[in-house]
Amino acid sequence: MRAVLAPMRASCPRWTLAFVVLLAAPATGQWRDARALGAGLAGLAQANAARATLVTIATSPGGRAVQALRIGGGADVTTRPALLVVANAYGPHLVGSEIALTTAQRLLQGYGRDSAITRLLNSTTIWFIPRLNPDAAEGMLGAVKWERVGNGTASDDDHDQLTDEDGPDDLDGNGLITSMRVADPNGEWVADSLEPGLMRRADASKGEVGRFRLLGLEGKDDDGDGKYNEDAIGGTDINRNFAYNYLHHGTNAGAWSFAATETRGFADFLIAHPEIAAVYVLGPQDNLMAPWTNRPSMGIADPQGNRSPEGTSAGGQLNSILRADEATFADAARRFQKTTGLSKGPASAPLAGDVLSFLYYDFGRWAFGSRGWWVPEAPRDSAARGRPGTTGGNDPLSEERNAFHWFRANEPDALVPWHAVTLAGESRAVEAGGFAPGAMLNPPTGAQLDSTLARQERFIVELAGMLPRVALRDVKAEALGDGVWRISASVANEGVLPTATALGARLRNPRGVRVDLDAKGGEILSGQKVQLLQPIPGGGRSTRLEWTLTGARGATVELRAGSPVTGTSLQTISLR
Amino acid sequence: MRTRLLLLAALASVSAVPAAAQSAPAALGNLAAAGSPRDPQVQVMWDRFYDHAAIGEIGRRLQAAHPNTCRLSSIGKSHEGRDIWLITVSDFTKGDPDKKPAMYIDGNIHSNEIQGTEFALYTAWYLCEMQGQNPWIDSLLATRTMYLVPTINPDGREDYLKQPNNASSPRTGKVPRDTDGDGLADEDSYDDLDHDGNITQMRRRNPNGRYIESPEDARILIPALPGQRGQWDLLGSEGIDNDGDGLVNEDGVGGYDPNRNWPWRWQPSYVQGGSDFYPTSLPETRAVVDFVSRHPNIAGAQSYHNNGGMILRGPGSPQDEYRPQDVQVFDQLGRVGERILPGYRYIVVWKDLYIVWGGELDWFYGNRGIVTFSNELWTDFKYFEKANERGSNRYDRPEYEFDRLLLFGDAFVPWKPFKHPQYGDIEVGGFKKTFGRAEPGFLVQAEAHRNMAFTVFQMYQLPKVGVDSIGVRSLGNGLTEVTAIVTNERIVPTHTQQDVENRITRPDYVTLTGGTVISGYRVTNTLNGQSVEQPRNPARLEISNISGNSNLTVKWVVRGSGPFTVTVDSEKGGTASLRK
Repeated sequence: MRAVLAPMRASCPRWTLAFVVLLAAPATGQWRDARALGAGLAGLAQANAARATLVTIATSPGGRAVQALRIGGGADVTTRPALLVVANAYGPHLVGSEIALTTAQRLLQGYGRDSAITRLLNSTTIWFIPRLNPDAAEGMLGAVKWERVGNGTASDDDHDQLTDEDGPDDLDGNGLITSMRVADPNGEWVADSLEPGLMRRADASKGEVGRFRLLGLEGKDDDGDGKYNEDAIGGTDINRNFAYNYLHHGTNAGAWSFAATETRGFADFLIAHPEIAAVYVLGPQDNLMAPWTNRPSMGIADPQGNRSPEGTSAGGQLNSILRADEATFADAARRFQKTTGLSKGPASAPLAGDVLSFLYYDFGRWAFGSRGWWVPEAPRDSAARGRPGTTGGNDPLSEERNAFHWFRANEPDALVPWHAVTLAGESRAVEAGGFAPGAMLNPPTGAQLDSTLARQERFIVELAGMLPRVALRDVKAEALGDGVWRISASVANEGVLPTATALGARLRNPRGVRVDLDAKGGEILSGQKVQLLQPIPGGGRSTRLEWTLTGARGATVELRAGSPVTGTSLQTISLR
Repeated sequence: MRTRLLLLAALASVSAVPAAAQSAPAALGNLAAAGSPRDPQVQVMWDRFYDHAAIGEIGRRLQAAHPNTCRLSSIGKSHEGRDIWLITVSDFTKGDPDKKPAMYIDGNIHSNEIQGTEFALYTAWYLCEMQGQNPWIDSLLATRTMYLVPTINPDGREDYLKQPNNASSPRTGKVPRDTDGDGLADEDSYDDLDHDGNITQMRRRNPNGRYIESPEDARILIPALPGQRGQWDLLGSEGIDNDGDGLVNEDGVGGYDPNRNWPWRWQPSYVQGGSDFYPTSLPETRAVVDFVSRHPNIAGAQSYHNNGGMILRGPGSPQDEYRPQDVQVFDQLGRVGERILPGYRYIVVWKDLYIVWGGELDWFYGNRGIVTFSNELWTDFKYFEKANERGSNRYDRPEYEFDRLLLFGDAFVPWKPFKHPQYGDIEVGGFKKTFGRAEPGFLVQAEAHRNMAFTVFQMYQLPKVGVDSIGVRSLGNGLTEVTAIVTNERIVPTHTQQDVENRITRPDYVTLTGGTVISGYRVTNTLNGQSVEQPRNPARLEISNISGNSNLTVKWVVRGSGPFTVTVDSEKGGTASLRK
């Protein structure tokens, strides 16, 4: 059996670079299309009316609803801290939407049966947006499967004044868009000697001569411009349309940042729900296997070569997280790995207009990202060391090589052997083959999917339990004599996550914890009637505050502390 | 037939047109001054600032009086539901205005920077009223289009005009935002303590204060000299602590900067204050972005601000650098602008003013490749037509002197006592909102005209393509070589380099009809005939750009002997053809 490594597109995330086409083709019909997903969500909302609410936050250019499901019970469901789970901004990443929907379903089913889940849903609100890019997701859900990334906006990717005129074609009729190679003595590619299905560049330093040219995705030159598949159906990749590190004029990045209704609908949803304290993003960007760190750097250089510190007007955006946030990201990653039992994962896709980086860098939220599933580690092939195409122990194709091993043993359908296809205009022998679309992203049905859903549910539940919670503690009224009192109190965070990211404090988003002292007619002599606090770390740590005020013995004053992301704590204090 | 439409001074309150206005008074005999419309059909007084209803009404009257030249439409709605008016000016009898090279102008993105609206309206009025009187303008409107959006911030404008404000408030639009982070939006704005419609200053007598009254003009508070006893404390703009948090005026209307909300190098507030939650979060930004991106014929733009006397070009952020080819174009236009606008300097935003991320002119150039300027209207220079007068006299200031000598004190609200709930006995007084950043009445039209002249110069210099000549040479065997010289006779290229490099708008098409085209070429060296073939669709050659004030040569090999027609079709440069 043989498969292929297709050419890289410079704009693709690193982990899709190696294979233009990926995908699990687990059993057909496993993944939900827009209709099935919508029905699933509507069904949950209907069957759990007391604890589930479904809203539409955007309609895609393809006419599909982007929906958000809120779960949780109790009168304060809209005002207490909330977790958001968002998935499938990157079209082919269907496992993300499945994790989101299944977790919502299991939690709702567990309510009233499982005491931990019942407690959680009575105290915490969880939002699920299973599919942020429903148009692109359909690429994996039709009769011919391919890794579509763009939404339904017509786009002219190759700037020839025609839109979507040359996409991939299923030349071999197998329902999968794979890759194409053509035998060519002038080509720069060879089949790997250990893994003949895998294509890699000929290593001239070891005397190798190229035997193939790679032609990219399977498909013909529909518009006769001499290029294959250069303007496929699909406009904006929602996972590239946000603002952080946005690539202006990039293919599939959208006409401009936030041009897509899905992108705007998502941000408007967040603005309307300031109680969302943390977000779990299922997609190509990861910071739970390799947590984000603080790497202070200078910012951009101006045209005269001068540099200013990053994160300032002259230096431009921050290039890494703030130091004060580092420990929390590291802690979340430890918890994720412990809870899921996952210890080694592929590198994150770069941060470039994606949802995850927007949530932290532009929206100040605790934002955690994971692919949810990746090809597990297969037994090592020691013979690979030192062979052409590998660089000692540092094999640039290790992820793909591992995938070959693992798929061969566990999911042979994910590998499409090279086979002859007919391609008009090419006189030499053309073959199609490689990974099935989405194979590297989405697990096969059965044990892999089941264990993925179970471990992801565990982590989502754990994360929901980590949200910041403000409580007033050690509240004291001390008589100073002659009707003057000293009030003191600690504003504690009983959650695990700090009340806000340090960057959020700089952005003033989310809002800081506000403390109000209502002296009920007394005069505040020192201390502030209203004050906003810097973020309070989690684990019961607190900020101590003091006031002096006048008041009659026996009178009461009122102290209130909270923010949308922490809930509010209220205490009445008797002056005695 | 001409209908005389009167627009009275009372237009600012259009709903209450006095009965006397219903019958037109007899025309006053006059002789038009040079450069003025002889017989304007729409009367507008250019010494005042118009509200939203009036802007629409002026547009409607211009459209009614000049139906073949002026059209009023809306490009979208503001947050509060007002139309964002667009006035299109062109000679509608000579081609589709959306296919002609176009200049786009807007004003008033910052609510208090109001006169850009009147300057845009004046531009529409002037072009309409001069058409038929001035052949140069006739020919301009025959071949080009002016899109004018007098205000892209109608909510903020209405607030500025109708609510008590100062010359700097509000800068923001009206989408409520929690500026001070206390959970409430817009809960502690200015308060017009003396109910005069202006937000002036508050001062409190204090023998230990830092300020004294100037002996030359007692309205001016000047810092006490070291060792000198003070008389006054300055307490900021008129206002009280509306929400009882101990702070005065800390969360006024809105709370963002509409000119930091654009999707080019947008940055969040820790880098760029006021940028709001995300690029295009504001409906007004989105309306302009959508309109401009749907009109690739827009080749030049102007976004009016105030103040300081500047002709600004980007980039706004040090992350960008304009391409040298484009800088040449900006420079040629900007230097003429300095000549037209005495007291104005042609400068670069990030380098010479301050850094702006996500600014409007950066989106126009960066995303759309449009040659865009932003004029900062009004400058202290205009007080006495002298530069750098400020600070020359410790006891007097040019704006106070100007107010005394030319406006007779009308710009200033005299100090008067007020009992303040937090500060006790204070005085309230200071300049009115219409003074300091906007032109005083008698200069509105003069400055409108000069700025209009600069934008009309830019409009004239937008690309104008032509086919200069066609050469025909028999190659024998029934084949003919057809050569054509294609020109752009104006300063601006059909594509800026930014446009070329990012392939923003389509190439220019040079098409040959007559005969069967065998092959087509762009001639890269006319001396030795070196050429580059275009293998696909050779009859319609795709040219990435025709530079300003330049020409290029193309050729075809054709079966047939003519006659041949060569047509050049450019989104930003118009169309032209020649037959031989």
